[in-house]
This record gives sequence, structure tokens and C-alpha cells, in this order.
Amino acid sequence: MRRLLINEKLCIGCYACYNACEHGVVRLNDEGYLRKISILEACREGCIYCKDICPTGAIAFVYEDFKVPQEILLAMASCVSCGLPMATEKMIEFLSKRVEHINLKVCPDCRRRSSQQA
Amino acid sequence: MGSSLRIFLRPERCINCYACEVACEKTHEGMGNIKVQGVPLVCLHCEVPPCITSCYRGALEIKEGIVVIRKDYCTNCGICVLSCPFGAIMVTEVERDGKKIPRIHKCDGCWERPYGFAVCALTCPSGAIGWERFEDAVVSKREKVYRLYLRG
Repeated sequence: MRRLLINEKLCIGCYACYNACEHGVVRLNDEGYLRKISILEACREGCIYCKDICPTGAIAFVYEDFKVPQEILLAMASCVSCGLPMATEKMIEFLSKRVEHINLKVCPDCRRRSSQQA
Repeated sequence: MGSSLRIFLRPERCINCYACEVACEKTHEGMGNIKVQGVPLVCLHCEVPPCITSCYRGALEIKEGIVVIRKDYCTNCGICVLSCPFGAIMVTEVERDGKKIPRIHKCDGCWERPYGFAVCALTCPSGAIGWERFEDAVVSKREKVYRLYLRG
């Protein structure tokens, strides 16, 4: 039996593997200010979409017996302007290394609204 | 197909009729890329786009001055949505096998449409969305500013 193992230190909590998995093995739930990524079942042989697609290379396959379902909890950052959760804190940290001069404390909806009012 | 033609916004002319939103949704399979909240806002097709720098797969590219998403490369991870300073990249949730998955889409300047013309600009009744060459738009904006300056 092959199963997915997500490295909790590397995972940033984006939607990439959740979108790529056609068999519904990767589950993603937003509960308030927490994002929960859970893997409850073994996955199919030969399928490597999620590993291929992961932005941080956090996904590995293990061929051990299926032991404990894995759950990753990630804290969501809230928008300074509207207070709603917008993305995980790790995702913003990941992005802050790639782009400069962008206010990452405000959610995209609020950014749109403020640029339309200006 | 409009080589150096681009969408230009004149927000002061907008009459809030939402015709552009409807036209865009109709052309892009229900996923509209323009939002009117007082004034219309679409992707401004930046010269140095932060969405392109943020994308880890190189799924965004500049085609004849227009920033487009390559659907076969995009993983819908949502990183570019966060990186856009104007919030012009949209997310729509689509049903697939009983679960909701986010789809990311943005203005593509209607580059693959048969009209060779952006539908929002074609639909706009008040001329708030223009479809013109970059040089022409710059000249008309300068003229406007100069006229305002003369008026005092």
C-alpha cells in the first residue's frame, strides 16, 4: 500500500495538491482561522500529480503499512482591513520572498475595493 | 488579432450598468474577469507583473503585452491571487466529483476570441472601457490632464 506523506515543515497550505488529486485522497477544509489538510486513505500506484505540482516539494510517497491518518493544521492570516481569513501564514511567508512592494496584509477583495475607490 | 491594442479604463465615465460584467461572464464560460464596484476594474497587464514573479510553475506569461494564464500549467494554488496588488485575479469555485475546487482566472484581453476585440470594451455604452493602442491612450490622457491644467 502506498500512501502520501506531507512534510509539515514545508507545506504552505495552498490548493495545488488538493486540485491535482483526482481520487479525492487529499482533503482540505477551512474551519474559521484554521486550514486542515487531511489524508485518510492510501492512494493509487503510479499517480504522481501531487508530488509533481507541489510548490515546496513537501510531498513524498511511503510504502509502509497504512498507520495513522495524517492531519496538518495551518494558521490562517486575517486581513487587516476586513478581518476575514485570507490565506495561510506560511503561504504569505512563501510569497514575501518572491515579490516585493506588495502589501500582503490586505486580502485581494479589499485590494480591489480600495483600488476602485481611489 | 489586436497586436498592440489594450483595454484602457476611464472610470469617470462609468454609469454602473454592469453590461461589461455580463458580457465577460458570457464569453468566459461563466467566469467573469471584470468587477464593477462603482468603477470597473480589470487586470491592468503590468509591465513587470508580480503574478508572473510569484508563479512557481511559470503558468503566467506575457503574450503581445497581455498577461495570460496557461491553463495546462496552472495548478490553481492561489499564490498569484495573493500577489496581485489590485486584486484583479479572480477565484471561482467549481464542482468536481462532489467537491468544490477553486478555479483561477484573469483577464486575457480576449486574445483568443474570434472578435479580435475585448468584449467589455465592445459592450460598454458610455465609453468607460476603451480598446486602443498604448500610444493613443497615453496621448489622450495627457490631453485630458493638460485641459484640466488650463482650466486651473
